[in-house]
Amino acid sequence: MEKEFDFNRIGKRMPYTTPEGFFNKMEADIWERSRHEPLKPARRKTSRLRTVLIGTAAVAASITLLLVLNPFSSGQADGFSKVEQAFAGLSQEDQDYMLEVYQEDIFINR
Amino acid sequence: MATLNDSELVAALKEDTERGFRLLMAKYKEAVYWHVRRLVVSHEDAQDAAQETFIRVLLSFRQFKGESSFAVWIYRIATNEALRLLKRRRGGRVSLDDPEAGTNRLMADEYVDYSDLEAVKLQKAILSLPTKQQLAFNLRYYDELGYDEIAAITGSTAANVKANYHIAKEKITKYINSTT
Repeated sequence: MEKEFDFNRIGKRMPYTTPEGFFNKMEADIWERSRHEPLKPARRKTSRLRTVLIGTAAVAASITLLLVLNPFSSGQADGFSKVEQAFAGLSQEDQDYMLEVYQEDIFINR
Repeated sequence: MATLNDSELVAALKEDTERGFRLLMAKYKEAVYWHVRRLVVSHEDAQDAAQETFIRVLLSFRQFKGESSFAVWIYRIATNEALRLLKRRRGGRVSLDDPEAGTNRLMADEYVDYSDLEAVKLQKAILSLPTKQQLAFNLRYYDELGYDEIAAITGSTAANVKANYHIAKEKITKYINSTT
């Protein structure tokens, strides 16, 4: 009769193997790749922010245009400065949320 | 090569990326590879997922804010890469919780010692579990991480992870005893 399974008997032993010298080669490959495929997350984040701001500015500009064409309205507003003002008026938490949502978060597709 | 603690490792990466990279690899390359290997099973897929993990770590370590430990951050990226790869392999259609698929990958891989029957059977039992239970079991049993650390990696709670770990252990024992 077979013995009951015992985790202590097998411990951390696994049937998986790797080719000879694999870990050194993997390290070399990663370093080589990182030198040739540099991403710039900080710049990408700025670019995303710019996209968000430009997109929001476009909407704001449309609204501004309507306000300008409105005969009952006397004021004019700069769409970009309105967006900047609106963004600056958000709480830190909301600003962070905006940045977070439009940034390419590596966990977003979990 | 001396192994640094994680805050020293992050500081080393910021000061001198190549030196930091060597230290990072000395500490984490095997742990990350074996973690993703247990999930994706095939050596080639594990190699891809491990490489992607370290590339992401290298390119975004400056964004690491220390909200979790560096180890948790790395394991989380590695877990994401492994699950993303599995999803891609299945065309994004099939659930990750497909016990047959795991066993098929195990039986098809070139880098498996099939003569170690007990070890093969244990991996088959692990692969028969739902992903959350696999993660809880692997990260606790093989990587010896705390329940709170595993919870941070998997986006769960420590209590949930603990429950998943114990359920996984029971299921594995039943699976193996029923197939002997």
